[in-house]
Amino acid sequence: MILKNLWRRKTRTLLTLLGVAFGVAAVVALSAFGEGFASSFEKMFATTSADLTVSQADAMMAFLSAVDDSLGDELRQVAGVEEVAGEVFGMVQMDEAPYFIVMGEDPRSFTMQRYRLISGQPITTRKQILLGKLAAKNFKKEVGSTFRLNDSTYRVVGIYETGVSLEDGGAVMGLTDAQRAFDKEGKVSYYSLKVKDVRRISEVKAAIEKQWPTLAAARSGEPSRQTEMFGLYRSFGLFIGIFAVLVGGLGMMNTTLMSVFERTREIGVLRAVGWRRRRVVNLILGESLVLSLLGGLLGILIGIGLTLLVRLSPAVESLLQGILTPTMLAQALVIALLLGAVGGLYPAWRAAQLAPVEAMRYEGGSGDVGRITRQLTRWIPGSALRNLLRRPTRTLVTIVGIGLGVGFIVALSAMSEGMIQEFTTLAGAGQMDLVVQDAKASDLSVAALDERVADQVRTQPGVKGVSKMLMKTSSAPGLPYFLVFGADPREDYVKHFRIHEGRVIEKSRDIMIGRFAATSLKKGLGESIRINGVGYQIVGIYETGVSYEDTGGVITLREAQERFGMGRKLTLMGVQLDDPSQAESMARQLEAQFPSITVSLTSAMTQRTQDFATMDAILGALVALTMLVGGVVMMNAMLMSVFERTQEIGVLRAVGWRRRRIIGMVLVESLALSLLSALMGIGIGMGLSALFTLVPTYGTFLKALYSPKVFQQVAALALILGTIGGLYPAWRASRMQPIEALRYE
Amino acid sequence: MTQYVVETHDLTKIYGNGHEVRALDGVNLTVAAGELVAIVGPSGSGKSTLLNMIGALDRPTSGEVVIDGTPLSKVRNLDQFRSQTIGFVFQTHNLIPTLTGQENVEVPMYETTLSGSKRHGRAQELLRLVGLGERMHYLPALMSGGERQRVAIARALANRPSIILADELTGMLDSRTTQDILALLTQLNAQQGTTMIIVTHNHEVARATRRVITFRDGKVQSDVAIRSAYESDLLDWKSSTLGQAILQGDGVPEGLKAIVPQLREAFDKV
Repeated sequence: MILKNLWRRKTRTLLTLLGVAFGVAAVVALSAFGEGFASSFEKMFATTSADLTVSQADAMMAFLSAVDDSLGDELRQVAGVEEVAGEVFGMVQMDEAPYFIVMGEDPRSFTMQRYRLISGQPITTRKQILLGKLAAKNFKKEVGSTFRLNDSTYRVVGIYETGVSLEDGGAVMGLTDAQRAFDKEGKVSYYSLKVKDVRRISEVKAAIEKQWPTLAAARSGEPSRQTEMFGLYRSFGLFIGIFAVLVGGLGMMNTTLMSVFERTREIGVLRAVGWRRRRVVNLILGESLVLSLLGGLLGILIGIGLTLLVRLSPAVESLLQGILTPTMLAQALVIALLLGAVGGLYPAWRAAQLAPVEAMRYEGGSGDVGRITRQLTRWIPGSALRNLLRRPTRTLVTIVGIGLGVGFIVALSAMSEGMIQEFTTLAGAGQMDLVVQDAKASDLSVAALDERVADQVRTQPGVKGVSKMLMKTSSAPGLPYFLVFGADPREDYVKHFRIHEGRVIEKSRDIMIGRFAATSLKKGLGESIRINGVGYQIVGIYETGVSYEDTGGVITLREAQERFGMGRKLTLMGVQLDDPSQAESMARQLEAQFPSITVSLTSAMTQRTQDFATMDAILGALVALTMLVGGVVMMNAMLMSVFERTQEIGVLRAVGWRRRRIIGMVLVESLALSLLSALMGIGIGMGLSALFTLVPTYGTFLKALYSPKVFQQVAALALILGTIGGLYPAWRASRMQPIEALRYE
Repeated sequence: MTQYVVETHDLTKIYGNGHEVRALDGVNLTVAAGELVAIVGPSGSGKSTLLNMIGALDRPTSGEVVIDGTPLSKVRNLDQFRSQTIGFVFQTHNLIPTLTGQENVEVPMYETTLSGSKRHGRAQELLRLVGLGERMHYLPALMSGGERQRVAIARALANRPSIILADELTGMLDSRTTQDILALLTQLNAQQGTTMIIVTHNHEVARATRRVITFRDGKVQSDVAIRSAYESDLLDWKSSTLGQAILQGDGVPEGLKAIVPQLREAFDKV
């Protein structure tokens, strides 16, 4: 009986199935990719051969740390340590791979063991490189080929495989080569240690941390701040998944609710012949569960398909390798069933509440207009809105469902806009005209711009001034993400930090901190603060209105370079011009002259920063998902509305309305529905952003900016959704034959 | 030569494939301008099918319908033709429920070149004509059955059609309201000279017309012009079980036996 009922409305069943399936597919694919990425990254730092990883205590992730390479010999002296290997972690932006990871390893060290060669030789001398299996495929290189990286040429001597996709998509070179390539002369990113007796790891760890308070020794696989980060990635995937499920679930409820309304009379008969309420509930719930189960299975297939599809592109595969676990699939099925239960419960309850006599008298509802419309006709212009109000529950469920999707997009794009704005202000500090970035860095956190370039740029004709900036993440008790800026006290950049109290930094042990940081840390002028194990005296408190800056602190450029192992290196450089109107041509000229830099107008800088490109990609995926799920939900609602009004459409055709006019009518309704959903979405989105900013620690960095672009995006989305959702139902409506439509019961 | 508004030539409609149903079987009919015609007959006799053919809602299997001298087989755009030539009155619930009375009347005018204000004006004028001047801004749900049917009649008149086709227009009305609606139709027929074809089960309705065409098995069984209500009643009686009994002289109730010859004589006249 359940299957027959579902079969009765094939199109609707199919659309609902698709809605659920897309949601579940998103959950499956996203959690597979999230799992794949996180576990790949974790494995990189959890090599089986190393027992401990020693890095800078305050570095947010091990690969962002920098430790003197003279420390290796000292570490070797620590009791219980057997072997020590310094490693350099580099990340490069290449055309074929936006995040290309290059490891610098001592060829004789134990850490080399994990790169299992599948062809060629190990590294023996300088300018040699090993490529991962995926990288070789991606760059179309083999043993003997040459490989260009950061303006140097290397010879590929071997191809390796580790089974960790990030490593297999990257490369390995000698430690000294890597130090030179990544401007880390005299430094390593971290040390991998092997202890003599595995049972005494904790003692060794304690000894190291006691001897060097600025270092942290982490056990391989030990939960660190790094894994905390990946937990965040994982939960982000889950978050998008939940959102897809919510939208799909509301679509589900809509379908079941409609099928209950449609069959009011039948349900009345069932009750009249003696069915108990419970049996009616079971019938309706059963339909919804079967539907969601089928949708879930289909979704799992689509999800698996998506993860397999990725394997076709080696560039993507090295970054995103989906890992599907049985738990994940079970989880997806549970989610689908939950959807069915949630979506079916209310309709089932509604069905059980029907009084048999009244239900049998029910006229199918097509002639009814609903209480709201009846009373408010005067105030509701146009039949589109009135038609939507005819089925207030359905319209509401649709609007909320799509509104949720749009809401997430609004929230995320507002945050992204806010971040871009903050970032531009930050980089445009001191009214810079141009921003100079490291051309080879795929991430600002690993950018290392040569300071000598800055000095050369300063002497160019047309350049009025240059500001050097260094930006690093650190932490302080009470502020897990404390951004440290290095600024030259003699340059304009420092003036950007408007002093609220005290004075500007002058000496190496001076620090000014942001107003928000001062409040969080409960520190005032004259007090001291420890960063990376070094004490600084607070000489000033500033406020810029940019949350990154106000939660951070500023020390002198020289001090910052020394502290973060960035000797003579910069993160960013600002350029002031004599004639700001010449900015664009000047940017091109500088780029041509210095190949190691990218130069952007301050306002356009974020477009060329990989971090923001990544964010855009995530947003794009979310928009696509909303379009798919929302479009299906929308189409379903419109299709139901058209079928319900078959007779009315017949009348319109009989009195001479052309097909085109019928199509127009349905499209207008669909657009009205999507517009209302978009409005709802904007509301939900604003609420969500407000909620996000309340999240401790991360919240302070989030600032929503509702630029016209956000609203344009939403308007475009609504337009597309309305059109997708309305086109097919409109076409179906226009194909109805007048006499048949008139005869339709 | 009389100008016919409707002519049908050997009109045949066959439904179904395999198991064929001849809904119309070689029907030849003419309706002159200004006529008020009732089509009666049992269900399945083909009267609604005929109405659909004349109303350009459906194409015949063979034969031809000619409206105002135009053969429908030559008409490319039936939608436009319908909107300009034909007015439909359906059963009560065929108003658009989300539109007010006035807006419902305006619906057919969307396919014309009339401006918005002209449309409003014409709709209001028509609604006053059918006696609904007061309640034109109500939704159908707030109207009585009779009021809804008045709106439907006004809607049928919207584009000044040559013919009005009504299908069971009193099917859902009580007898008192039926009388009112019939009075309105006859009055409109007399005043505006609009040709009207009414398909009905209801003898009261048939009685109010001037010509009754009876259908049976897709064919015209009888086509009678009526001069008075008395004749109409007689016709009605003649086609009833009792009338058949009287004509065949079998099973006539005792009390009537005495006047059987006179009744037969009267029946023969109609």
